[in-house]
Amino acid sequence: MRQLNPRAIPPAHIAAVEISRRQLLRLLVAGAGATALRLRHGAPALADAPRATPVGGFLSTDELVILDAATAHIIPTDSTSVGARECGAVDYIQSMLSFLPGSDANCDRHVTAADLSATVLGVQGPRRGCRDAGDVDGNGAVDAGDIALAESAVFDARPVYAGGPFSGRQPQPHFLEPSRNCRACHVAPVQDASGGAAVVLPTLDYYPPNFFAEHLPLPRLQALSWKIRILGADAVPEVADNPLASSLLETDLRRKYREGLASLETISQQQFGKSFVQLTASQQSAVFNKADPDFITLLTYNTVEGLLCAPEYGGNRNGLGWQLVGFDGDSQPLGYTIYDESVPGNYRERPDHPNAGPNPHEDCSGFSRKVANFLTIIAQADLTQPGRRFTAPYCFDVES
Amino acid sequence: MSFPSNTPGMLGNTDLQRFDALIIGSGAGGSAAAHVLAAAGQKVLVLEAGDNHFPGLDRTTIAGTPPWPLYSNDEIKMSIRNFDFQDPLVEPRTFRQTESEVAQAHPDVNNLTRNVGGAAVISSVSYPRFTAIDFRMAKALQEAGREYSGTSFADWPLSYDELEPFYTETDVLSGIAGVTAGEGADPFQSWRSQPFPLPPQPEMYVGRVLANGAKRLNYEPFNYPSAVNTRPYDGRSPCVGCGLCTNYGCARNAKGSPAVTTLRKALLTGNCQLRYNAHVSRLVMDAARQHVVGVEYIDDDGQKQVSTADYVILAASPIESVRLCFLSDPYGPGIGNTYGHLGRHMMFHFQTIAVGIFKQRLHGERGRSITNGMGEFRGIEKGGAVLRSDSPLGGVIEFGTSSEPITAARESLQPAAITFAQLSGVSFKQLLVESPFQAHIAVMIMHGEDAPQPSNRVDLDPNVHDVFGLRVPRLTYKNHAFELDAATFYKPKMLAVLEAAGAAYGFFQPFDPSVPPTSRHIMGGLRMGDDPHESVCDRWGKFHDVDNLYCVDGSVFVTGSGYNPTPTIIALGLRSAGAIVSPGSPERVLGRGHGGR
Repeated sequence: MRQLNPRAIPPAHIAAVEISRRQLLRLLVAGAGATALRLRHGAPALADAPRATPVGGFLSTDELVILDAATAHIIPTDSTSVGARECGAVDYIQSMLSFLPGSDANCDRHVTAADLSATVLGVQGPRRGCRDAGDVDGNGAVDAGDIALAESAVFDARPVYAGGPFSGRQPQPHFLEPSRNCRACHVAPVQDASGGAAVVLPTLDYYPPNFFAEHLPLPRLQALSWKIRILGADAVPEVADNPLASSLLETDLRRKYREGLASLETISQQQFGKSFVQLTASQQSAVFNKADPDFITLLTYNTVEGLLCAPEYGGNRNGLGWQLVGFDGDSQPLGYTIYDESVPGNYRERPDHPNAGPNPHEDCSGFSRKVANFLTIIAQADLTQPGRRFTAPYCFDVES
Repeated sequence: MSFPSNTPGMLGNTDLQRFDALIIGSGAGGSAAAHVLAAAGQKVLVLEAGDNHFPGLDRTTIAGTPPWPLYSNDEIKMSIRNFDFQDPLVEPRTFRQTESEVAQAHPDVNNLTRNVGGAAVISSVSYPRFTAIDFRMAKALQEAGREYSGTSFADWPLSYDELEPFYTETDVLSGIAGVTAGEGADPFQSWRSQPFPLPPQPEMYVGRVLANGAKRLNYEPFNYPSAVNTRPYDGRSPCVGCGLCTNYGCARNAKGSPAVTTLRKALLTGNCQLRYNAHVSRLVMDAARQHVVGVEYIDDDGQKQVSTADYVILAASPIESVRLCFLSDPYGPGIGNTYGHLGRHMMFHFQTIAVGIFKQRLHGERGRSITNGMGEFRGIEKGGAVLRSDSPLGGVIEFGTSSEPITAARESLQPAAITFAQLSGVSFKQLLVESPFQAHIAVMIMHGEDAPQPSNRVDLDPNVHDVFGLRVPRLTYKNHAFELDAATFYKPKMLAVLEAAGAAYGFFQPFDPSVPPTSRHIMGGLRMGDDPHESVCDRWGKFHDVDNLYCVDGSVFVTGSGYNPTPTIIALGLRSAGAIVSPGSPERVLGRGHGGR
């Protein structure tokens, strides 16, 4: 079983080897059609994706319980399919809220979620003289809150911006690229028969490491922006003359979540005399309708993100969210058109995931009755121009 | 040795101290100019406001290959969390429709990305040329007796024939794939001296479906010219059709974006230094405001720096280039504004977006961004040299789809959609699972030409400031009947194509004039022309009023055409830079410093 590389991978190491164009062409010819493409089905790497651990962080255990029930209300689990709960939407949101824009534990003047991890885990404790190093929660002061957070349970920091280019969930295509680069090619070099330069041969079984597990550093402007998003405009005096910093939905997230979750609980107790988590689905809908609509929208956005994000952000556990909606997930470096100079047009399709037509045996019967009704209403109710419902819909059959 | 750079915040030759040229912005225009100038031996400093996601871009590798970038198939990073896009929380802009309104801050006033290589890095790199008639549109409309009051159509100070060699150079530098003649070629494009350097893109499902619909109506859809590698080219790998293309930097450098083509070539000469996270705050002018003596910028530590060079080239994209001209003359009318044209005649393309929902899954998460399109709704005759007498001027149509499930889910959460969902009793989860707006969607996007109007303009907002304390750009923009009527004319024809293609449902994305345009095609503001009374820049992109200031971004466009603007920006950038090192005969620089194949 391949292991994910949990540590940040240092910036590009550039191969010093040179290869002549003639050698390259020879290898291209040799590589073309030499082996049938062997695809692994079922995204083996997803099972290896960072496991959800009990998460310490900004939201308390009590708040996480309400949040879990609220995300499960937005995308419920039912008898046939998973919901937000199984996908770990809560972990996604907790990770986002626990990112600490002020904390620079690595003292490199670039803030990443890894700084939080280092600080909270005590792997690399705050150093004297570092900018903001002791201010774990980024509120501008080293105080009891920082100590509490640092002493809380293990925090599994997630990237604010995951690295690239590849997640390791897909193999390298089997054609030999002229653009090899050892950052993503850890395959053993092969000595050219003529004793020439060493070259790197990607193979079918070669999966690149998971660069998504990296935490990309934030330059100054992005760090300020994340401070506004997490802590609100008041934390950044420089944006006093920007009304958007205090009005956009996705700002001041910690306060909005703390107050929003508390209000769900308060409304539940007032209306039904029970906790939100004990209510039936229709009762929870009633609570949602009484809550601040902006908070519900925010919660819904973040829940969807937690369902469909790359698993490295904490949600979409084991790719369950992608499976739910029929999305293939990140496809690099394999992709869907396989370069092959031996075929007309220079490209082959993946038989199981064609680029230019439907999947084999794909159900093209259309939508459920309710979704069909929904689309009919939209088509007929178009706000600016009369829409049309076409009379003869059919499943388009691409000639093969 | 400090080349290539080991210094954080810098790429290229960090030894360079004295510069001939200082270029503001590393996008399509700035990188094209940097390439020509550095190849000619000029010492070039490029200042880029955004971050660098191409570590090692200045390094020589096997087969001349650029290293892997930090871009990836990651919707959270690229589309949800503003990895590259100008962030309205720190750098807002304001918008209003008319002069009488107070402009309001808006999170997306046609914001572009800020990153090394510019917005083309995350674009679909759809690279069609403008056609011959675009460069003499005012005369053509006048001859046809078509007048539109309030517009400011003018002819360009150069012809398609003059620009054609630079288009060809753009084809080679960017690696443009397309069909040159016959089936799959665009019959409405003008003459070209050379075939496309790369074979056409393999069609994706939605492209085939819509193209077949268009063919049933006797249109001639074409394989969309695109700077995406269809074979190994210039040391870069072929595209694998990973699906996440528009809004995404290419994870394998298969897109021939400015970063990995022109900019990289410039950096590899050793004559170019690039500083990123360097936010230019003003041009330092002499007392007469006719000469740029330096450029002030704010670095990633928030410190003010000043750099100097013999001449300065603006390439910050129109809204920001215009803003700099105003910021640099706080007590005067603005640099280049002697006759009042600074910031005016802004154009964005009026996009009409027809949405078709198909019963089958179209798998937009596979393949390229745009592989097919059609030109019949541009309103010109084949060959691109004559207006059609029976149709208004619209634009080219791209056949697209959606590849982003999170973004598509947000569509289902629009207030109108929620109302419709309640009416039909459908649950949010059901919409996610059946995915009509992602897995089943086909879109036709018409890039309708919008008329230049002096009243459509950029200046500085009096109230709102960015994180640096600088006044932000204020856009005043209202569509003219010219483009609104054209959209009305072509809309039923667009629906007919969707119907012929087999869509089950068809409708249009609503147009709301109170919301700023989001086309990402930004043109005008520093219009070029031979008459200093009617323009800001001359035919080479040099300011009439300033002896060492040029512009090479979309600001200099005179009209907007109905085609994607980037290859025209590149061609003009190559030509303007060519004129700097070879005055009067810029074509002498063609073919220099290629290194491609």
